[in-house]
Amino acid sequence: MKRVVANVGLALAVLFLGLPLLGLLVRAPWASLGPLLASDELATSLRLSIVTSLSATLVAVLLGLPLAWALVRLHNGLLRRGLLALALLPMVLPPVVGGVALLLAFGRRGILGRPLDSWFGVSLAFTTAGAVMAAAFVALPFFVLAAQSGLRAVDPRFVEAGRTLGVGRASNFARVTLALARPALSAGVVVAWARALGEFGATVTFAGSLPGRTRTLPLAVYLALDSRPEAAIALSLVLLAVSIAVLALLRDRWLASPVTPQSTPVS
Amino acid sequence: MRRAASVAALFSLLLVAACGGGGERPELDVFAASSLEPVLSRWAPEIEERLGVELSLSFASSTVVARQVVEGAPADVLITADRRSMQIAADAGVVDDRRPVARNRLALVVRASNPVRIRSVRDLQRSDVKLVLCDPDVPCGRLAANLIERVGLSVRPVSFEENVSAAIGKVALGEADATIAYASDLRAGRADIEGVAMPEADDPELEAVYPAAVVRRTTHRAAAESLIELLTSSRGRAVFGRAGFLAP
Repeated sequence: MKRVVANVGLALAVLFLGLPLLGLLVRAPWASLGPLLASDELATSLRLSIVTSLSATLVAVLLGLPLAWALVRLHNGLLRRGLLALALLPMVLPPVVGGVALLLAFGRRGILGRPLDSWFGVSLAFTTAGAVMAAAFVALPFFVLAAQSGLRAVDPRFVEAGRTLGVGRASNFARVTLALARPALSAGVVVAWARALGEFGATVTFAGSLPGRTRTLPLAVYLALDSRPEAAIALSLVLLAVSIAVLALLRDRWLASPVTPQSTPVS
Repeated sequence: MRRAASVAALFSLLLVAACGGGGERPELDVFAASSLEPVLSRWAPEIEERLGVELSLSFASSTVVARQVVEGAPADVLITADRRSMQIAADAGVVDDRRPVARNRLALVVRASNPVRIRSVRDLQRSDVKLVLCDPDVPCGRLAANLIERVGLSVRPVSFEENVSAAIGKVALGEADATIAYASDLRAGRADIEGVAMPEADDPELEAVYPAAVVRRTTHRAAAESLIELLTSSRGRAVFGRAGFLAP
């Protein structure tokens, strides 16, 4: 009896996850896919998506690494928990709310945005930089989580060994700690990048939607769906292909047995 | 274990709270163009009273609501801001006869007290003016594009928004300086935006027409028909007129 219930549950789960994919593949305009994929609309939004998602990943790594490192070192419970909550908030926050929050901070009348605009004439909303910020905001927690667990798993004895060998602090961190945490860090980079690539809510709220500047692939899909469903499906197929590629990249990291520091050679 | 139980209790409480409140009156689901939100939301209590129904209003751009109805959304009445979107639903065979309930004129909308001093539609060409428009895929964007072409303007919008509410929101928040929306948007009682005279929009071909139709699958056909009846009645015209719309 129990087994039947479990199998029915499994079948439902497979259907639930698989049918939407099937729908995308069945309804895809295969005959006209070539021209659709070669269209300017797709090329423009794909190029923009690649640029913004990669830049956002870079931002997430540059800001996320110090954050993750602090989370590993901090022993003060309250401070650490507060920092962790701050770092993870964008992950549970609805992205649209994130976009509103970004507007109120960096928009033309935002806390920091107003002085930026009136003193330097810099305005981030409706710019590619704004789209990068929106994507980085939602992608950051994914990198921090992965980096934190990777850094925490580094065996302190290796770091100690480096220190006794007279390696400087900075170079010890780079050559021992980061090297040992590299599998987790790269997994974090890939997940953060995938999240940045799929970003919609915060982007459309904070950065608007202008072809070539802020209209990334997900925004183009959403807009095209209303009037040109074939184009929307073609764009979706591109994103689906990218997602499958990401999974393939992650396969060794997540589906294999967990990496232990001992098994990773120090380069 | 106890923690899991309290989490489950919290979830079910939220579910019950979200689903509760069902009355005996039939619930009429109206899917309508974004630009109808101010007038229909304000008018809803009176409509509910007159028709003895519970109104559930859902707003998005015309193309979106039309597509949702085509895809089987539980709507009883569909109202779009153009004939083209309604035609999508008619072609799919999901709506009955259509009747125009109102018209709307384009309007030049700026932030309250007009800080960048936009005096006419030609000022939208200024390089210091941040202009957002509706996307040409939705009615307000299509009409705005027609207007811009007719006047012969060369503008560089910073964003093409997905519906008229989003475009107005960007101006109200101060992220953009101006947008082209509808006359009715200026009569919605908002203090954060104002209008600038735009005689160029005074042209029947640049007006939005709002057709309404009963959705074929409705289970409240009589109530749906009387709603459209009410929208086109003299009372309906008066309400639409006060909200900045023109008679159909």
